[in-house]
Amino acid sequence: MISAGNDIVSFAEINPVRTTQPAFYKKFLTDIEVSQYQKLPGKLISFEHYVWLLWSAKEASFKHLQRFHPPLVFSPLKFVVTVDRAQKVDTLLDPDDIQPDTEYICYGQIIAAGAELSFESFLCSEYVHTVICDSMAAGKSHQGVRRIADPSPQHQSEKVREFCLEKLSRVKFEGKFDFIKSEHGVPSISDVQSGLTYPVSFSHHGQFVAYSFKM
Amino acid sequence: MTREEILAELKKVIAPYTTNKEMLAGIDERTDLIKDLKINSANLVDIIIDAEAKYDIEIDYDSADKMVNVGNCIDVISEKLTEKK
Repeated sequence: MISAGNDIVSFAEINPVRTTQPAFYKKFLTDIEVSQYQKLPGKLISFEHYVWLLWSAKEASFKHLQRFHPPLVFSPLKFVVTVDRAQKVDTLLDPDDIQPDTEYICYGQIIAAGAELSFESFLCSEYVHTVICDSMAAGKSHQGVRRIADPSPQHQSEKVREFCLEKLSRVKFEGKFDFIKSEHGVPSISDVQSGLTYPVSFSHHGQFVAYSFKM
Repeated sequence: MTREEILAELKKVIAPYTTNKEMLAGIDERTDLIKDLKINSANLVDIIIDAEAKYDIEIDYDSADKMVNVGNCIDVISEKLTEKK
């Protein structure tokens, strides 16, 4: 069974002073995760961004796993993240998607609920966006980030779905798609004609919305 | 503190993190912080830290995990206030 998980954190929406205070980040980062920052090659990313990179990895993996385990509780300290490497990116990964000012890609793993997942995080001065990678599952991964004008929850929800539908129309030229939710609120893409469903993950924070799906 | 008193103070803690002020005014113990108040999950840690400062308590990791809806938040705060006595 394939799944999808992504999460975005807008740096405009977080408190940078609080972020670097141990009383704050120790609520969701383990001592080992904190100490791993010192081992990151080249200190490419700030500690503030590192904290939110790990948060987004934990959130994205929670969304990925929740599809299989609906009663799963998001307990951040039980989602253990290791960042293997961070590298600077000079070109956009996918010219169809809007990923402005992408500066770094970070790769790593998360161990949680008896599973080990890989992730990729896209980090720039404005946000960090993490996507869970499931190389064992068939299909191609698709993801995107977009800036929106109105950050109200209803607008975020509408815009991220519109954005995802635009991508779907490019991936599959034919077909009518809809979004459905399980009884536990986990979203899927429904191909109305074929009846097939595909896992999708939505996220939004402030003026950014993002999605990931595999098809 | 009674549950009603904790709720009144809790509204002030939550207020900066929700844009749904109408819903906030009418919250009850079943109100879900994320689904109903549309609080971003990244702000849940802020709420825990602010609640700790407001009530002069320490909320451990296991207790923090339970703070999903308003009733759970009141349970945890009430428990920590009792432990403090």
